[in-house]
Amino acid sequence: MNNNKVAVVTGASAGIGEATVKRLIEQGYTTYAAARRLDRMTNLEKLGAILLSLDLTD
Amino acid sequence: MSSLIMPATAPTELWKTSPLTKPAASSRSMFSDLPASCSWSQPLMRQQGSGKILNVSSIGGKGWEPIGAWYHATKFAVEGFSDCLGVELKPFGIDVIVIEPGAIRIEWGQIALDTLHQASGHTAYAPQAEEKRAMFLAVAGSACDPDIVAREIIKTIRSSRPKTRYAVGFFAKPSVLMSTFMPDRFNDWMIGMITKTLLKQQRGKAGVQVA
Repeated sequence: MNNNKVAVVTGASAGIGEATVKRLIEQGYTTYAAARRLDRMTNLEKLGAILLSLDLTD
Repeated sequence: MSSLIMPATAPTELWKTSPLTKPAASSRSMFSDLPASCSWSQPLMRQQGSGKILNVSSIGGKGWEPIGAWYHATKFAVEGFSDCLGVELKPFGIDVIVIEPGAIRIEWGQIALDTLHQASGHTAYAPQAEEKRAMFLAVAGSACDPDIVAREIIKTIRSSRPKTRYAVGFFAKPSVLMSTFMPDRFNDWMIGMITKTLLKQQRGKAGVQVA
Protein backbone atom coordinates (compact mmCIF):
# COMPACT_ATOMS: atom_id res chain seq x y z
CA MET A 1 0.00 0.00 0.00
CA ASN A 2 1.05 3.58 -0.20
CA ASN A 3 2.57 5.57 2.57
CA ASN A 4 0.98 8.81 1.50
CA LYS A 5 0.31 11.09 4.40
CA VAL A 6 -2.71 13.24 3.69
CA ALA A 7 -4.06 16.09 5.80
CA VAL A 8 -7.02 18.42 5.37
CA VAL A 9 -7.01 21.70 7.29
CA THR A 10 -10.14 23.85 7.51
CA GLY A 11 -9.93 27.54 8.37
CA ALA A 12 -6.57 27.50 6.62
CA SER A 13 -6.48 31.10 5.40
CA ALA A 14 -5.23 32.61 8.66
CA GLY A 15 -3.98 32.06 12.19
CA ILE A 16 -3.55 28.54 13.55
CA GLY A 17 -4.87 26.93 10.34
CA GLU A 18 -2.36 28.73 8.14
CA ALA A 19 0.55 27.94 10.49
CA THR A 20 -0.49 24.28 10.54
CA VAL A 21 -0.59 24.03 6.73
CA LYS A 22 2.98 25.39 6.53
CA ARG A 23 4.27 22.83 9.05
CA LEU A 24 2.42 19.93 7.35
CA ILE A 25 3.95 20.77 3.96
CA GLU A 26 7.38 21.03 5.57
CA GLN A 27 6.84 17.54 7.05
CA GLY A 28 5.95 16.05 3.65
CA TYR A 29 2.19 15.75 4.03
CA THR A 30 -0.08 16.05 1.00
CA THR A 31 -1.96 19.01 2.41
CA TYR A 32 -5.41 20.28 1.46
CA ALA A 33 -6.02 23.83 2.68
CA ALA A 34 -9.71 24.66 2.98
CA ALA A 35 -11.28 28.07 3.61
CA ARG A 36 -13.87 30.44 2.22
CA ARG A 37 -11.26 32.98 1.19
CA LEU A 38 -9.26 31.33 -1.60
CA ASP A 39 -7.54 34.62 -2.49
CA ARG A 40 -5.96 34.69 0.96
CA MET A 41 -4.25 31.33 0.46
CA THR A 42 -2.11 32.05 -2.63
CA ASN A 43 0.99 32.00 -0.41
CA LEU A 44 0.06 28.48 0.78
CA GLU A 45 -0.54 27.34 -2.82
CA LYS A 46 2.97 28.49 -3.71
CA LEU A 47 4.32 26.35 -0.86
CA GLY A 48 2.53 23.30 -2.30
CA ALA A 49 -0.87 23.21 -0.61
CA ILE A 50 -3.90 22.08 -2.62
CA LEU A 51 -6.62 24.69 -2.13
CA LEU A 52 -10.25 23.86 -1.42
CA SER A 53 -12.97 26.48 -1.46
CA LEU A 54 -15.06 25.44 1.47
CA ASP A 55 -18.03 27.30 2.80
CA LEU A 56 -19.96 24.95 5.00
CA THR A 57 -22.51 27.53 6.07
CA ASP A 58 -25.59 26.64 4.07
CA MET B 1 -2.81 7.80 7.11
CA SER B 2 -5.04 10.82 6.94
CA SER B 3 -5.83 13.64 9.28
CA LEU B 4 -8.49 16.30 9.43
CA ILE B 5 -7.53 19.41 11.35
CA MET B 6 -10.20 21.97 12.14
CA PRO B 7 -9.21 25.23 13.75
CA ALA B 8 -12.16 27.07 12.23
CA THR B 9 -14.23 27.50 15.33
CA ALA B 10 -13.24 30.77 16.98
CA PRO B 11 -16.22 33.00 16.32
CA THR B 12 -15.19 36.54 17.20
CA GLU B 13 -18.73 37.93 17.00
CA LEU B 14 -19.65 36.14 20.17
CA TRP B 15 -18.09 38.48 22.70
CA LYS B 16 -21.03 40.37 24.04
CA THR B 17 -23.32 40.63 27.02
CA SER B 18 -25.12 37.36 27.36
CA PRO B 19 -28.51 38.42 28.70
CA LEU B 20 -29.13 41.08 26.07
CA THR B 21 -28.14 39.41 22.83
CA LYS B 22 -28.92 36.58 20.47
CA PRO B 23 -26.21 34.25 19.19
CA ALA B 24 -24.46 35.45 16.05
CA ALA B 25 -24.71 33.51 12.82
CA SER B 26 -21.15 32.42 13.41
CA SER B 27 -22.22 30.10 16.21
CA ARG B 28 -23.16 27.88 13.28
CA SER B 29 -19.46 27.22 12.85
CA MET B 30 -19.79 24.93 15.84
CA PHE B 31 -23.29 23.55 15.46
CA SER B 32 -23.21 22.96 11.71
CA ASP B 33 -19.78 23.36 10.08
CA LEU B 34 -17.77 21.27 12.49
CA PRO B 35 -20.16 18.27 12.54
CA ALA B 36 -20.40 18.49 8.73
CA SER B 37 -16.62 18.35 8.34
CA CYS B 38 -16.43 15.42 10.74
CA SER B 39 -19.08 13.58 8.67
CA TRP B 40 -17.51 13.89 5.26
CA SER B 41 -14.12 12.79 6.51
CA GLN B 42 -15.41 9.63 8.16
CA PRO B 43 -16.18 7.23 5.27
CA LEU B 44 -12.61 7.28 3.95
CA MET B 45 -11.10 6.95 7.42
CA ARG B 46 -13.44 4.06 8.30
CA GLN B 47 -12.55 2.34 5.04
CA GLN B 48 -8.84 2.54 5.72
CA GLY B 49 -9.33 1.72 9.40
CA SER B 50 -7.34 4.69 10.63
CA GLY B 51 -7.29 8.46 10.79
CA LYS B 52 -7.23 11.37 13.18
CA ILE B 53 -9.72 14.19 13.59
CA LEU B 54 -8.36 17.19 15.48
CA ASN B 55 -10.83 19.78 16.67
CA VAL B 56 -9.37 23.04 17.88
CA SER B 57 -11.23 24.21 20.96
CA SER B 58 -9.63 26.61 23.43
CA ILE B 59 -8.84 26.91 27.11
CA GLY B 60 -12.27 28.56 26.89
CA GLY B 61 -13.66 25.07 26.35
CA LYS B 62 -13.04 24.43 30.05
CA GLY B 63 -13.15 27.80 31.79
CA TRP B 64 -15.55 30.72 31.79
CA GLU B 65 -15.64 34.48 32.26
CA PRO B 66 -18.08 37.39 32.13
CA ILE B 67 -19.27 38.57 28.69
CA GLY B 68 -18.14 35.28 27.17
CA ALA B 69 -21.27 33.10 27.35
CA TRP B 70 -21.87 32.74 23.62
CA TYR B 71 -18.19 32.22 22.92
CA HIS B 72 -17.68 29.67 25.68
CA ALA B 73 -20.90 27.88 24.75
CA THR B 74 -19.41 27.08 21.33
CA LYS B 75 -16.09 26.00 22.83
CA PHE B 76 -17.71 23.76 25.46
CA ALA B 77 -19.71 22.31 22.57
CA VAL B 78 -16.52 21.46 20.65
CA GLU B 79 -15.29 19.58 23.72
CA GLY B 80 -18.51 17.62 24.27
CA PHE B 81 -19.05 16.88 20.60
CA SER B 82 -15.47 15.65 20.20
CA ASP B 83 -15.60 13.41 23.27
CA CYS B 84 -18.79 11.70 22.07
CA LEU B 85 -17.40 11.35 18.55
CA GLY B 86 -14.19 9.94 20.00
CA VAL B 87 -15.83 6.97 21.68
CA GLU B 88 -18.04 6.38 18.61
CA LEU B 89 -15.12 6.30 16.19
CA LYS B 90 -12.65 4.39 18.35
CA PRO B 91 -13.91 0.98 17.07
CA PHE B 92 -13.06 2.12 13.53
CA GLY B 93 -9.50 3.04 14.42
CA ILE B 94 -10.15 6.78 14.23
CA ASP B 95 -8.80 9.09 16.95
CA VAL B 96 -10.60 12.29 17.86
CA ILE B 97 -8.34 14.82 19.56
CA VAL B 98 -9.07 18.21 21.10
CA ILE B 99 -6.46 20.96 20.95
CA GLU B 100 -6.89 23.67 23.60
CA PRO B 101 -4.81 26.73 22.73
CA GLY B 102 -4.19 29.45 25.31
CA ALA B 103 -3.48 33.03 24.22
CA ILE B 104 -2.28 32.95 20.61
CA ARG B 105 -1.29 35.96 18.52
CA ILE B 106 -3.83 35.98 15.65
CA GLU B 107 -6.13 38.53 14.04
CA TRP B 108 -8.93 37.15 16.20
CA GLY B 109 -8.01 39.36 19.20
CA GLN B 110 -8.56 42.73 17.55
CA ILE B 111 -11.83 41.66 15.92
CA ALA B 112 -13.08 40.35 19.25
CA LEU B 113 -12.21 43.65 20.94
CA ASP B 114 -14.13 45.64 18.33
CA THR B 115 -17.28 43.52 18.52
CA LEU B 116 -17.10 43.52 22.30
CA HIS B 117 -17.16 47.31 22.34
CA GLN B 118 -19.90 47.60 19.72
CA ALA B 119 -22.19 45.10 21.40
CA SER B 120 -21.66 45.84 25.08
CA GLY B 121 -19.80 49.14 25.41
CA HIS B 122 -22.97 51.18 25.93
CA THR B 123 -25.09 48.84 28.03
CA ALA B 124 -25.55 48.18 31.73
CA TYR B 125 -22.68 45.72 31.30
CA ALA B 126 -20.20 48.36 30.10
CA PRO B 127 -17.98 48.14 33.23
CA GLN B 128 -17.61 44.38 32.73
CA ALA B 129 -16.93 44.92 29.04
CA GLU B 130 -14.18 47.35 30.00
CA GLU B 131 -12.62 44.78 32.33
CA LYS B 132 -12.81 42.22 29.56
CA ARG B 133 -11.10 44.66 27.21
CA ALA B 134 -8.27 45.17 29.71
CA MET B 135 -7.82 41.42 29.90
CA PHE B 136 -7.67 41.04 26.11
CA LEU B 137 -5.08 43.81 25.88
CA ALA B 138 -2.94 42.42 28.71
CA VAL B 139 -3.00 38.90 27.30
CA ALA B 140 -2.17 40.16 23.79
CA GLY B 141 1.28 41.16 25.05
CA SER B 142 2.10 37.60 26.16
CA ALA B 143 0.33 35.70 23.37
CA CYS B 144 2.29 32.97 21.57
CA ASP B 145 2.94 32.61 17.86
CA PRO B 146 0.39 30.30 16.15
CA ASP B 147 3.31 28.14 15.02
CA ILE B 148 3.51 26.79 18.60
CA VAL B 149 0.06 25.26 18.13
CA ALA B 150 0.98 24.06 14.62
CA ARG B 151 4.00 22.17 15.97
CA GLU B 152 1.89 20.56 18.71
CA ILE B 153 -0.62 19.48 16.02
CA ILE B 154 2.17 17.88 13.95
CA LYS B 155 3.44 16.01 17.03
CA THR B 156 -0.10 14.81 17.74
CA ILE B 157 -0.85 13.49 14.26
CA ARG B 158 2.51 11.69 14.15
CA SER B 159 1.83 10.00 17.47
CA SER B 160 0.67 6.39 17.29
CA ARG B 161 -1.25 6.74 20.55
CA PRO B 162 -2.26 10.39 20.98
CA LYS B 163 -3.83 11.77 24.12
CA THR B 164 -7.44 12.97 23.94
CA ARG B 165 -6.56 16.62 24.58
CA TYR B 166 -3.57 18.90 24.45
CA ALA B 167 -3.37 22.33 26.10
CA VAL B 168 -0.80 24.54 24.38
CA GLY B 169 0.29 28.20 24.42
CA PHE B 170 0.41 31.02 26.96
CA PHE B 171 -1.45 30.21 30.20
CA ALA B 172 -3.06 27.12 28.63
CA LYS B 173 -1.90 24.44 31.08
CA PRO B 174 -2.52 26.32 34.37
CA SER B 175 -5.88 27.52 33.08
CA VAL B 176 -7.11 24.05 32.13
CA LEU B 177 -5.82 22.59 35.41
CA MET B 178 -7.61 25.30 37.37
CA SER B 179 -10.92 24.84 35.55
CA THR B 180 -10.74 21.07 35.92
CA PHE B 181 -9.61 20.65 39.50
CA MET B 182 -10.51 23.79 41.46
CA PRO B 183 -13.99 24.42 42.89
CA ASP B 184 -16.36 26.48 40.74
CA ARG B 185 -16.56 29.31 43.26
CA PHE B 186 -12.81 29.57 43.41
CA ASN B 187 -12.69 29.94 39.62
CA ASP B 188 -15.44 32.59 39.76
CA TRP B 189 -13.39 34.54 42.29
CA MET B 190 -10.14 34.06 40.38
CA ILE B 191 -11.46 35.34 37.05
CA GLY B 192 -12.94 38.39 38.78
CA MET B 193 -9.70 39.13 40.58
CA ILE B 194 -7.55 38.74 37.45
CA THR B 195 -9.70 41.05 35.32
CA LYS B 196 -9.95 43.73 38.04
CA THR B 197 -6.18 43.66 38.62
CA LEU B 198 -5.46 43.96 34.91
CA LEU B 199 -7.86 46.88 34.54
CA LYS B 200 -6.19 48.66 37.47
CA GLN B 201 -2.74 48.04 35.94
CA GLN B 202 -3.80 49.43 32.58
CA ARG B 203 -5.34 52.52 34.16
CA GLY B 204 -2.08 52.96 36.09
CA LYS B 205 -0.07 52.80 32.88
CA ALA B 206 -2.38 55.27 31.15
CA GLY B 207 -1.99 57.65 34.13
CA VAL B 208 1.80 57.51 33.89
CA GLN B 209 1.68 58.33 30.20
CA VAL B 210 -0.49 61.39 30.80
CA ALA B 211 1.80 62.65 33.56
